[in-house]
Amino acid sequence: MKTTWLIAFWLLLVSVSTLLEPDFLTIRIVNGRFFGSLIDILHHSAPAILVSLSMALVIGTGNIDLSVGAIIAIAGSVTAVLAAYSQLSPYLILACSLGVGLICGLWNALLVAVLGLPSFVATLILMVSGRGIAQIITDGQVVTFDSDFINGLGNGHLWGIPSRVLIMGAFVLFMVVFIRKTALGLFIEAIGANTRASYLAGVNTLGIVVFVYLFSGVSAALSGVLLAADIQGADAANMGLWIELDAILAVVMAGASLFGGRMSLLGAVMGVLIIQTLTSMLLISGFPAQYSLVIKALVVITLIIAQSESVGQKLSRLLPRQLSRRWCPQKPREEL
Amino acid sequence: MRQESVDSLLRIHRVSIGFQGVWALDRVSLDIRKGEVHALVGENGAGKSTLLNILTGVHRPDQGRVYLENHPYNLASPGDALKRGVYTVFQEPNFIPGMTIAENLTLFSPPTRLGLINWRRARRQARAILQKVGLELDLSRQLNTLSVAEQQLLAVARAISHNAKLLILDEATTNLECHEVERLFRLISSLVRQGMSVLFVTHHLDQVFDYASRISVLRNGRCVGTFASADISGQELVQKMTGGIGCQRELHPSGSSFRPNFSSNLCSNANANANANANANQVKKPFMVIDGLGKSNYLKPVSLNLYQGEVLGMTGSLGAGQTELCRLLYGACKADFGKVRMGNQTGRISSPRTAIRHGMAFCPENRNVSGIIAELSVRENLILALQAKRGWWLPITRRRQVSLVNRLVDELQIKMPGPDCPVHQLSGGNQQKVLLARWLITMPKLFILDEPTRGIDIVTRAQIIKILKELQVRGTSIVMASSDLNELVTISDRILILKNREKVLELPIEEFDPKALSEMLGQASVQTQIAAKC
Repeated sequence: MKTTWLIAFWLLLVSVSTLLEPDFLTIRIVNGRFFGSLIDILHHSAPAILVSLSMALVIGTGNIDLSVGAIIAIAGSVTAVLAAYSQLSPYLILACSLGVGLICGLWNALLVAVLGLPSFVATLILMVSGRGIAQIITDGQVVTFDSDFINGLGNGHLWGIPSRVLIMGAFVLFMVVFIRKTALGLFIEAIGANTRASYLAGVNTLGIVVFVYLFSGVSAALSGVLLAADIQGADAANMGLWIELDAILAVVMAGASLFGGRMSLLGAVMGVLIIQTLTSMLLISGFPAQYSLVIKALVVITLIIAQSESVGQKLSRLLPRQLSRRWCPQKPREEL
Repeated sequence: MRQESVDSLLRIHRVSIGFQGVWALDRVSLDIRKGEVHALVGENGAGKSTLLNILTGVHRPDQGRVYLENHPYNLASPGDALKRGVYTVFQEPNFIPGMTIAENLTLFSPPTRLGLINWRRARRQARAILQKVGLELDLSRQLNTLSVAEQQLLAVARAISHNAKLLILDEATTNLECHEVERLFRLISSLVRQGMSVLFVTHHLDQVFDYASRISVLRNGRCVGTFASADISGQELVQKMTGGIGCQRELHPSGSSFRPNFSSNLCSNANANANANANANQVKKPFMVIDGLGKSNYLKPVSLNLYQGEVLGMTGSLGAGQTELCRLLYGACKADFGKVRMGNQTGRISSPRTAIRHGMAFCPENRNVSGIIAELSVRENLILALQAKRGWWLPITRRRQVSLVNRLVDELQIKMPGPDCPVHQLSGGNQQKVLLARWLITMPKLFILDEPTRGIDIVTRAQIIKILKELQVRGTSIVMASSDLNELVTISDRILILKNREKVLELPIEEFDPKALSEMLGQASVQTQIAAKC
C-alpha cells in the first residue's frame, strides 16, 4: 500500500523532471550501451539500494546497523589494496572483500545478538572504528588499481546494461525471493513486532538476528566493491560516508517503524530511487546547488509526515465527527 | 439511599468501559463514604485496575458516571485527579530516585521567589509535611537510600500535603512487612478520623479485614457487592472473589440468567473422565516424569507425573508459583535443578524450541506481551509456531496457510474480518482463540496453559474449555493454571495446589473439595504475605 504511494510519488518526480528537461526519459544507444538519465539514476543508486535492502531487514528485527558505511570503506579498501599490490585472481579478491564484510557482520551480531548490547551503541563502535581500520588498510592513501575484471564490475556493461545495474537488479530479485518466498520474512517481522512472543512460539530469535547482521555486512561489502570498482581506487576516508543514514531514511520512507515489525523491501528500493531522482531533478532544474540538500530534506520530511499514523490521527481529530468516524477505526464491540 | 448520598465522598454509578470488545467493567456501582477505609478486592482481571484508572483519569468510562462530593467527576488527564483531591499511592512509589526527600516532596508546587525556587522555604515545607506524619528523616537524603516502607509513608505524606480527600492505595502494602503495614495504617487511620477516605486495593485479605470497614468485591468486571467487613468471613469473601462453586447464582443479582452454567453440565462428564483416567493411570505409564524441577529464588523443586489425555489443573493464590512452573516446564525459563523424562530421553528443557521439538505447546499468561504479535495478521500469528517448527527454509504455502486459517476459524468459531486482518483488531477472546489455534495446528502432545481464560468473557471461556476438552479426548496431555475454580473443576482430572512457590498438594478431582481450597487460599494469602518478606 505504502509502496504504491512511493511509486506514485516517484512517477510524479519523473514527470516533473521530464517537464523541466524533455530529454529526461530518452534512452539512447551509444556503442551498444544504453545511455540516459534514468539509467544514470539506477547506476548511482545501486550501492545505496544494496545497503538499504539489508537495512530493511535489520530494522525489521527492531535493530539498526550504523556501521554499513564503515564496512563499505573496509571492503573497498581491501579490494583496492589486494588489486593494487597482490597477484591474487580477481575472484579471490572479490571473495576476500565479501569475507571481510561477513566478519564485520559477525562482530555486530556478536555484540547485539549474543552479548545483548543495544544495537545503536553496538554498531556505533564499528561505524567509528571501521573507517579507521579502512584507513589503516590503505595506509591513509587513496589506493588506485588497474584490474579489468573489477573495472568491469564498476563500469562494464552486459547486453548494453551497466553491470552495476545488473548486479543491483539481481540482488533485489534474490532478496525478494529469498526473504518473501521462505519464512525468513515472517520471522524477521515477528521478532521485530514482539521478540518475546516470537521466542515463545519457537522462532530462533538469536539465529535470525545474527543472520540479518551477517547479511548486512556482506551486502555492504558488495556495495563497497562496486564503489571501489567505479573509481578504480579506494578513498577510505570518504567511501560510503553517511550512506547508512540514506539507507535508514529510505527504509523509514517505506513506512517501516524503527522499533521493528512490518518492512517493505520494494519500498526501501523506491525510497532510494526517490532520493536519487530528486537529486538529478534538482541538478537539471538549474537550481543553485547549495539549496539542493535542504530541498531534499524538505521533500523527504513531507513524505514521512504524510504517512505518519499519529499525524493522521491528529488530523482526524480536527475533522468533523462524521468524517473522522468514517476514517478512524472504532472500538469493536463483542457481540455476546 | 438518600442518606448514603449525603455522606458519600465518591459515588460510582453504573460505570462501564470496554476494551477491544470485552467489557472490562460492566455497570459497576459503588460508593465510598467520607472517613472510611474501603477495600476493593478481586482476582486479576476482575477490573480493579481499570476502575482505578478511571478514578485517576487514565481512562474515561464509556458509560456511567462518577461523582465526587455530588459534583460530576470528569477528568481530562491524570493531573486533574490530583487537583480534585484524589491521590494514589502505588505498589512502586513514584518518586524520583536521584533527588532528595525535600526536592521530591515539593516537586509539584515548589515555593518560588521571583520565578526561582526558594529552597529554604521548600525545605521548611518538606519538614512540616514530615512532622505531620511523624516521620523523622534527613531531608537531604536521596530517595533511593530509603526503604520501600519509608517511601510509602512518604508518599502518603505527600498526599496529605496536597490535601487529599481520597487516598487510593493501589497494592501499596504489597512490598511492606507486617509492622510496616501497621505503621502505615496507624498514620492513615489518624487521617481517616479527620475525614479523609481511603480506597484500599490489595490481594492480602487479612489486611482487608484488619483495616477496612467495608469491602467491595469485583469479579469479571462486575461488582459482586459491598459488604461490611464485620459481616463477612474470609472464606465467604474468597468464594465471592473466585465465584466459588455453588454460590455463583446468588452472586449475580443482575444478568445472572445469562451465565451459561457449564460447570454443572460438564462437571459430571469431567468426573466420569477423571475416574476412567484414574483407573487407567494405575496401569498406564506416565508420558512425562518431572523429577524435582526447580530454580532457586523462583520455584522450589516440583515432582510430577503427566499422563496422556489427562488434564492437570493448577491453582493457588496469586504468585504462588503456577506461572513459574509453567515456564520451567516449557523451558521459557531455565531450571537450576531437576530432570524431565519423556519416553526414553532424560534431560532438561533448555529453550522453547527444544520444548516444541518434544511436542509441547505453551499459552502464556500475558497474552499481549508474550502471546500475540499484535502487528501481524491473523494468518501469520496462526502459522507462526508451525512454521518455526518446520524451519525457515520450508515455508508453508500460501494456499495451505489460508486453508489452515479457514479450518481453525470454523472449528474455534473465531470472529474476524479476514485472515489478513491485523490480530490486534480482534477482541481479546478471539485473540486468545488465535493463540490456541497457533498451537493446535502443531498437534502438541503436551499443552501448557497459563490462565488461558483471564480477562475473557464468559461465552468465550466456555468455548475455550470445550476446545481443551476435545484436545484431551484426542490424547493431548494438558497442564492448565487457573485461578477460576469453576473452570478447573470442570476440566481437570487432577488438581495441583501451589503455595509460596512450592507444590503443597496433588489430588484427583473426586477428592478435591473447593471449599477446603477456599479455606486454604484464605490462609494462603496470609502465608504469601509472610513469604513476600523473606
